[in-house]
Amino acid sequence: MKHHDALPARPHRALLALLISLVLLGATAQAEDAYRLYVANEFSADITVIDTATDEVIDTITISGRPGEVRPRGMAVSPDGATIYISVSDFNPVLETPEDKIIAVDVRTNEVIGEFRAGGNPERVAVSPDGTQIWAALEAIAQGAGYDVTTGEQLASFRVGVEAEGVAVSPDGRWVYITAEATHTVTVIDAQELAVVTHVLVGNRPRVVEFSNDGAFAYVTAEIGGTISVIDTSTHKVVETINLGLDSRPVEVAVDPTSSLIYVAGGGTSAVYVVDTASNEVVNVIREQMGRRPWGIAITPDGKKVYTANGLSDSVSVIDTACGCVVANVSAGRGAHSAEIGVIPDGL
Amino acid sequence: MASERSPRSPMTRLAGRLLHLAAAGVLLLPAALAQPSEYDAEPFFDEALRQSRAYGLEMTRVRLALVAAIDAPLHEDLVEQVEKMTERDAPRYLGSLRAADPELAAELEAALELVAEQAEDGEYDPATVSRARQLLDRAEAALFDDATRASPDYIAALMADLILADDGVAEAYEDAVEEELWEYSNGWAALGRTQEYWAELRLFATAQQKADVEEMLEQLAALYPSPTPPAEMSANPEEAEAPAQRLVGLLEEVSGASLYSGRDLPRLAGHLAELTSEACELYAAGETEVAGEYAAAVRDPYRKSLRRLLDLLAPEVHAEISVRLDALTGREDEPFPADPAATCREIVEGLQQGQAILGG
Repeated sequence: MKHHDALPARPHRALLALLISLVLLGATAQAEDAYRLYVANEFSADITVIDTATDEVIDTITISGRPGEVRPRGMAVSPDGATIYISVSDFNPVLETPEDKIIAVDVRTNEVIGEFRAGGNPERVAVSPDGTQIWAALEAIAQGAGYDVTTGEQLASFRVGVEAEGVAVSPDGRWVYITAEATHTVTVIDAQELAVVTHVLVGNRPRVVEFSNDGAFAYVTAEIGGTISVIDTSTHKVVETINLGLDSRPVEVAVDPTSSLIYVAGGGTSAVYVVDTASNEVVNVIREQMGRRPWGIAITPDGKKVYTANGLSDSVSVIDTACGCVVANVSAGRGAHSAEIGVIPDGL
Repeated sequence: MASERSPRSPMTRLAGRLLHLAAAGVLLLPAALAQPSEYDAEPFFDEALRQSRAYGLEMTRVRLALVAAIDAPLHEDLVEQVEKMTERDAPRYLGSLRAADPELAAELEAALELVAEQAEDGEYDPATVSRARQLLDRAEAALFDDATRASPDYIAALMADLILADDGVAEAYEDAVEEELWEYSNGWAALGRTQEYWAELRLFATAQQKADVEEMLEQLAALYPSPTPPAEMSANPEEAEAPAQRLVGLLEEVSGASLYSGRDLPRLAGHLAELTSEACELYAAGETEVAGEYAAAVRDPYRKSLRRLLDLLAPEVHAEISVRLDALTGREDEPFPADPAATCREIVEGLQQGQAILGG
């Protein structure tokens, strides 16, 4: 009572209303800004989950109780954010073991809800834009394989280059591009006709491929080449090579959904290279406060934040794209390998 | 009546094959593929033969180090590794040495054979190994002048081979984990040589580069705790690969030399075709031993950078090159050809086809 008496009735109600409004506004803003960042940790065999609104670790998903023997590497998130697909394998590419598979994890329960047999050390995986298919790069057997998400059946598998690694599906779902480290190639698969179209020579030791937002181009990092090969997807030919420097050792690339920028993780220099695809020129190099050996990189759908998975410092660097600077470093598991961002699914 | 087809010239066959590949959509556009080199020196292009000879000498030292470090009798699989010094390493340099100093070449050849024989017999004589090492030092001095041996690009290229080439640090570890346990010992000794060379090259490094290189060397040393395979090795055959690759990248910065010949693959194919052409002239002149050094210098980068690519894009071209290179270098049980000059010219043709396929 004393409290109530201390404030006049009208201002008290007004203040309360203001506070409620602020809380609601804050909650709405947070909901709009919040996504989930998933970081695959190769050596601790788990996935670090980070809330992008707070940049705090909110969960760790155990992939295997045998770290050092079983490892997660590439991931893909379903369009609704409910499922992450994770490439899981042992460390020995010569052996095909039960560990070689793609697993589907429901992020609402952290339960494994599906498995896709993928003998031959699957290294990375991509999901089709409609969420009905996944495609995997099978490193040890030089194949690319597609799977029906609903039935779990393998749709097809194709010979691709040797030491297949990166895989991406074009925004229209038509093309699957798969990189191969040892042959320095990208294999183009027609996902409608289920046929290999061609093999494209790119920079030395290509790692990851991503499509532009409109699907007109694909960007392929070359770790030894220190380059990004730009492929025109209408012809499947390299039309430009962006030089990042031989010491850059680029691995993953994140395409900004809101601009013409792409962000490239430079493992060799512990830097992030910002490339404007309108000119195909490097417009910024972010080095200060970066973790060591960034391989993974992901960008929020609103284009405001970029996250890198840093394998030598077992951390995630948070980049504010407005300032082009690192604003935080967050601990991850051992051997942070790759990073993916998804929307928060219903029910979370 | 069957018509008699006239034999097609190499160039006609090349044109026909290129047309076939163009129709198949395999030919590649060159314009967008060129990758500029940021380093002044390119030892694997400018001095390919020199580096191959030097690597042969180094790997001979590696095998001798195994004999000296591991108690006799050696495991039979390790004996096989030791025998590589006469079968694989010496052919990289012995012909040139014989041309420069025939007496020294003969002494070295005999000394290496004696070491290999003793290893096979389960014996170890320190004096024999010591003599072989002394002869190797003299051979190196005879083949390379002091300025060359002190140059950063020479040292860095040698280190890159010791780290990444067959039987080097990364590959030996991978082979040991996967199926050939005693390859491990090659990697152990190769790492030892790498560390010795780093002591010379670090004079050219910045403080940060020293710290980075030495961190990678420590990581590799942790994988190689002893001359013989440890009781437990990593389950990951590529455990040494990441630090090895990072190390070679750092060596590029320190030395100012490009250490990956595969960055420009069409150029590499053309370069190897030119190198092979020189070998063909030597084979035609009857200088088989020196010609073999060229063949060895071609085979390694071909296998490392072009083999799998051409096998994907044009398997028949790859097969023609590969089997002939194996024959000229005595690998994969391929018999030495009756007409090595002709075989050599067929390799040149194949490499030129490969270069064209790659857009060069």
